Amino acid sequence: MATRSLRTLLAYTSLVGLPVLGIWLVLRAGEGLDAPADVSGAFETGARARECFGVERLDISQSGRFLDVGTGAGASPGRVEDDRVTATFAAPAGSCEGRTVALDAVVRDGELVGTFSASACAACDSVVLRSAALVEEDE
Amino acid sequence: MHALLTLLLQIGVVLAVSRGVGMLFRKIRQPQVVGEMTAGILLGPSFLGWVAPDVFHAIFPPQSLGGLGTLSQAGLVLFMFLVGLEFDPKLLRGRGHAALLTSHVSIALPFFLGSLLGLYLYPRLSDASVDFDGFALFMGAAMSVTAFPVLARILQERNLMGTKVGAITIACAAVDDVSAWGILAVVVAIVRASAAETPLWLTLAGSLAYVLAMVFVVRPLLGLLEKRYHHRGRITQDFVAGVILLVLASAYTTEWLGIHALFGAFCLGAVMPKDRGFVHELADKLEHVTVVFLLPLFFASAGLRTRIGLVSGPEMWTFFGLIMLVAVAGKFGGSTIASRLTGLGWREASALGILMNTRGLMELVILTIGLELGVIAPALFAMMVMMALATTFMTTPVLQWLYPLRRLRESGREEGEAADYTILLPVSLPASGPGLLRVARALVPADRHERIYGAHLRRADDQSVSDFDPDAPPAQEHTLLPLLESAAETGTSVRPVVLTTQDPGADIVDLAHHKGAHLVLMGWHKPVVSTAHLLGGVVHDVMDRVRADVGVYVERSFDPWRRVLVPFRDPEHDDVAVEIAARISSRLGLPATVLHVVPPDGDTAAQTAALVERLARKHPGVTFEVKTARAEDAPAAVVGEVRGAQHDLVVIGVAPTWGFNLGFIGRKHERVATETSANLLIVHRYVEGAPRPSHAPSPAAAPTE
Repeated sequence: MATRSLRTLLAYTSLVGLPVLGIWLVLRAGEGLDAPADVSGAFETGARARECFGVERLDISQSGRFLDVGTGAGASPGRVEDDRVTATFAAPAGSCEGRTVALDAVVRDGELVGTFSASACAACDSVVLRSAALVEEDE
Repeated sequence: MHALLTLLLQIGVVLAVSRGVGMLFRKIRQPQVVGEMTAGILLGPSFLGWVAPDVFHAIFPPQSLGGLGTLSQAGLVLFMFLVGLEFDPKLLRGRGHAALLTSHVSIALPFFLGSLLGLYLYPRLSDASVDFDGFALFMGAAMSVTAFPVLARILQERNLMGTKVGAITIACAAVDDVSAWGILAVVVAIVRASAAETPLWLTLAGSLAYVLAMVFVVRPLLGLLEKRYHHRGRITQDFVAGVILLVLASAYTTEWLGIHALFGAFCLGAVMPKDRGFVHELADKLEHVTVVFLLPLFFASAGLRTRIGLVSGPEMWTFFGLIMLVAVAGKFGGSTIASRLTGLGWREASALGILMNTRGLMELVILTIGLELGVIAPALFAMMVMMALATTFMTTPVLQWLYPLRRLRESGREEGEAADYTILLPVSLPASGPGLLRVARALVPADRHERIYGAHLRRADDQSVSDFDPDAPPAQEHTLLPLLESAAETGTSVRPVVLTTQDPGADIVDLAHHKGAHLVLMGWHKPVVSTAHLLGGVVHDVMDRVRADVGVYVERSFDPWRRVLVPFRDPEHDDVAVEIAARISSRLGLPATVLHVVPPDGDTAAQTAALVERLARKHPGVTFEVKTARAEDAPAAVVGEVRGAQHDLVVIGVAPTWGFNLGFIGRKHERVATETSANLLIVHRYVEGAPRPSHAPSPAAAPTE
């Protein structure tokens, strides 16, 4: 009987007590962790980007570092590292239609600030983007 | 399209697809609910939106999803009430420290591993808008969930409720269920507090006050409902409306407090009175519309948010692999080790572990809450949904591998004495029990002891959430009660057996084998809608496969039999009928007539003389009256004889001659059954090594000896 009680006590300590202690330690360890900036939402691209690439707004769905960037004519993958956002997509219309467009921006105070650049489309080599999120992503 | 038309179309599509996929999943021995969850995914962007985007957008335009979402949320509130209603503290009694330790470990270990995984996933799959504590605690809670309703269904379907593993598992799952919802309530409170919606202290203090009020104020008051139910003897529509109002009030309160409406619905169900009749009737009133109509809408709603396409690339699939590893290691591993330490064998402990690893729709509910709160991102949501489906899907095959049904049944095998004559009576309708018992008693050979099993096989898909009661003995099965009462009146010993089945024919065959049955005696009931023939469906399956004689009794009257008739033409099929009639005749002292039907061009006198000699040789103690009929149409001759001489019991062999065939052509020929009002006992003899009836060639008008 005493052996069984001791075994149960040991089992409780190791299989319940230690995990509970572990949860506390995990929460402590996570205090210093940083996640990528929140970049999900819809961002207006501006008149120049509309002319060059035919994109009126970017609809960004975020899963941590991984972005799904909607341009109105499909979605392309992107990444966010800390507060730096990168993505590439094919311009659906505009003067650079069909060219590959690269987005390089940072998130500052809820704004997406950076540039679009299109390969082999000299007129739209560096288009400025500065936009606050229009609406929250409804996910 | 008009909003209402769109909604009706969506509901129709969701119901049709979920029932269809559910049915397919049942064919592969998976619970219906797994199929319905899969149907939800198939209807979403992961499948329909991928293979037929135009159709997907036509059925589910983004602006129309509000109605579907609202309906599904309302359904979920009712469903969570039913889950709470199902929670019975009685399940925990007498399960000892094995259940207690196992349930605590099955929560603590996966919770820890889930939060540990959070350390790795937070910088990769979360963002700065989510607090780490909320993320890690949510991952822990999501990993520690067990799907009580799915698990209860699997235990029922595999008839594990009465086993030690089943009893401990159900107790652990009940503890897990309550714990998981309690933990989730705290996690939701923390997350909402971090989003500055409500101060945490206010939410926690309010939640504590709410729980105390539910246990110490509402629960005793709900006892009055139970008294009212017993006073009236039934649950009225006003009563149901009152209960729904209480559910809504409770859900409203917890949502207002900041711990989610579903917690309130669950909590009210948990504190409802647990009287079996009350719970069963209340659940029955609410369950069908909730489970059949509203729950698939929730699955579809969740499926519409699940974008498996987001899980792409080696990095993402590595995350998914880790999630699976942690989910299975925490729940399966933790439960298995804990139950092994409490004294279960490795095989039983593993079976318990795999059962506890079932997450099912409860995981889906929790994940949806997480997605709505923004604690988990769409890609992580998709991975967790896949994990929920995979862990639920794996349960049945892994359990079958670890703990095969054959092993279970072998352990329950009962060897009768050599002198016993074992009869299995599968009873599907209560009213047929006494009639079958009457036949069974008359069929026991004079020199043998009777050993009778009364079996009721519940259809797995017809069971309600509230149907299971691990402590209810088979003798309390409603369907078997008239049989058992009749047995008590006649001093006959009948052993009740209750099984859950997905394939009644196969399970009757299996049961007959394991009980060593010499005879399987089944009743026949006229279908309400179709005109299915006598030897079709389950009867066909049993007659075709069982290694025992089979009788099908068509009861027209419960009056005592007075005259027995046996049509005879072909010894191969009719000898068994003569033998059975001889038993009945000698046991009950009834006059028996053999109607010898010969072809019009046959040698009547010689054939009849041979038959008389045969009867005297085989059944020396029985006096048969032998009549001869020259007829091409044998069934017509039998019908004429039954009507003319007013026989009230016809014992007849399975033979095309009489219009009884295991093939489908028998449907229009069963004239002996349809054109007379006599009770009918159709018998088929099992012969070792003989071709099975449905495979045997149809004999032409076979000559008699």
